[in-house]
Amino acid sequence: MRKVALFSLLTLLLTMGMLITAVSSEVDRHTPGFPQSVESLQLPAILPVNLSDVEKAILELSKQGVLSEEDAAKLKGFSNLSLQDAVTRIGNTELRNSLLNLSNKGVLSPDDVEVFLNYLSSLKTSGALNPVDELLALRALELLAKANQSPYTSRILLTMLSVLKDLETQKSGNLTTFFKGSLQSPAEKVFQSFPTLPLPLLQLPTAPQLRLSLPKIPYSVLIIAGICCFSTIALLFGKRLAAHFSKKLNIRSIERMQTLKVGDRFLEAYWLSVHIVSTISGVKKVDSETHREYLARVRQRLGPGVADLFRDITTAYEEYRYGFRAEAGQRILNGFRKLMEHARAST
Amino acid sequence: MVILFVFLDNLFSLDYSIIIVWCFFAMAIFDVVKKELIDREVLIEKENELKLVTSALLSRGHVLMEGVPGVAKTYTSKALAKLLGLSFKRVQMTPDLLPSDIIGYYVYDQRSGGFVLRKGPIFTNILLVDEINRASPRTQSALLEAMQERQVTIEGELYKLEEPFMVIATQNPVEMEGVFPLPEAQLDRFLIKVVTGYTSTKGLVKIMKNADEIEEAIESLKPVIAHNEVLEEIRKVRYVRIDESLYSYIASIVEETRRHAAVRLGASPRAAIALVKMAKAWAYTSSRDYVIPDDVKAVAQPVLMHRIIVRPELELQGVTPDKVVEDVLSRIPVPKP
Repeated sequence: MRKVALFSLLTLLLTMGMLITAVSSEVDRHTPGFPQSVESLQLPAILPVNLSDVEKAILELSKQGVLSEEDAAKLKGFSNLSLQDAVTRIGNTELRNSLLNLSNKGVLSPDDVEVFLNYLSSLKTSGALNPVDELLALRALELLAKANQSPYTSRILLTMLSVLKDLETQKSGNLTTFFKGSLQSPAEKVFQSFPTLPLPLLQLPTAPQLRLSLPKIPYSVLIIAGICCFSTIALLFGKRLAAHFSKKLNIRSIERMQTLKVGDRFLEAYWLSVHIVSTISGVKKVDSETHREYLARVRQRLGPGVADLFRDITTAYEEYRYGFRAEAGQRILNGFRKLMEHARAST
Repeated sequence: MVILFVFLDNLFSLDYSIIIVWCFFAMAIFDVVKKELIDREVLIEKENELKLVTSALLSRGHVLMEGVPGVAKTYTSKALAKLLGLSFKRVQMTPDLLPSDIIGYYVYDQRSGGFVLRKGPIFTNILLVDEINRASPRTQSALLEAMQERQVTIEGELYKLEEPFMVIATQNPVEMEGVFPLPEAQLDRFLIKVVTGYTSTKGLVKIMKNADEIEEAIESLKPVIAHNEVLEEIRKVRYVRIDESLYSYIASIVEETRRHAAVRLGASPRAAIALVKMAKAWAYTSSRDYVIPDDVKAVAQPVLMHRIIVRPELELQGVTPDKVVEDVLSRIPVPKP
């Protein structure tokens, strides 16, 4: 019984542990600031950026004087530039040749676009590339990518916007326009390098509120935990409670019992005594057990008074039943009455 | 006596039956034996064996004692014989021993000019047959015939054996070479088989300390019951009461040994008779004149285990006759109510 209770308790602890782990890991999985459901997250992949936005940004920068007239002229009609125009306007010869080689290649693979973007990045890092040439190169690349139905078009457009933002930063030094505040959501941080002025309106997710309440626990977990709790309590204390009530019921049922249908009141008294003793002790007599064997087994569970009383009843029963001594019958009956009184008093 | 009973009854409200029973068993044979041998530590930790042997004697049965050498088999037999004032002889069985060496033979007497009978050791009350399985089958069968018939025939002459007559045969369970194992039919002649084992460490220490005293005590034992009193005790055992339901209980036990899945040969009707006899004797040695189910259970193993043959394949798995008997007893319900 103790083993079962222990097992049940362990099961309960394991369930609770799993529950806590599941809940805590659920919290940890979510980076603070991100929504918990996928539906509420709008990924950058679906940004509605197009060339007209880029052109608007160029015009705005031109108006602000960030772009020189020469640069503005080079970028004029940016959205309508053809591949040849874009390549021709590039001042960097090396870059121009690279683009021509790329256009001559015919089919443009994603790796080619990736390699070219890395090439642009390396030129920019080395200082051999000005932003206008970079924008024109990106426009040419965008045209090539579009012709090849490459999925990199959006990325190229975003890079263009990034270049424009860098340009604005370099020329005006006004950083505040790009930051909306210190408490930016991660989604905003992703796009913080984008120019602020004509940037496409991105619906960024709002920062989630701090959860002060416990996470919602599934009903199934609650039911399992409940069953485990109940089983543990029932196994630990249920038997005692049940034994207590069943003992009372059994003793009362003996009082109501008229006869055991043995046909001999002395023998009936003995078997009723066995019934009482088994109820008090919780040790039932096995059919193959002799009266003395049962006495020996049960007496350890009985109090000294009851044990002696039941020993006398058993001895008298043997004398009456097997020794054919009629006078022993009365001793059985007397013993039974005393035992009954004791049982009533104890319950 | 009756006046005394009535007086005591009035004085102490005593039950007549208790006084009558007390008088009946005032000289109970086992009480005397126990007092002299167990309580005085002449035999250490041998109470059960002694009670079984005494019960077998009172049942007019024979005992097969199985045990390794040096576990007081001879001492038990000798001490019992001395205490009960019975004659005791011992025969060491060997393969070259002849039936006449046990039973006896006629020799020519020059003085009388005729043949005179030289009785064998079988003409005694308690005969200890040491290592019975070392004797040839011919000698064994001659002995077993005498055990059953309680008489021997020498040169056509019939001789009744002394009463009481009990054979205590010993056999070593370990030695298997140079022995003639007793056939099942002959084993059935023994009322009980007593397996005697080693004593506990505490008991062994006692034996070592008092080895000389024990030997002297056995040699100096004096009869505490007269020969005719033993015969009277044997007669009394026959009148120990046994309830009808207990006959059915014994029959169920015996039949169950035949039905048991592990058994090749179950207990015979002779086994059932032996069980009744031993249960009566056991009740008597327990100072009762009636049998209770506990008596049947107490003697079931010694009575049945040498009569049951376990299937060889299960024997190899460790199933033994005593385990079978134990299992049978745990299945058969005791009489109710």
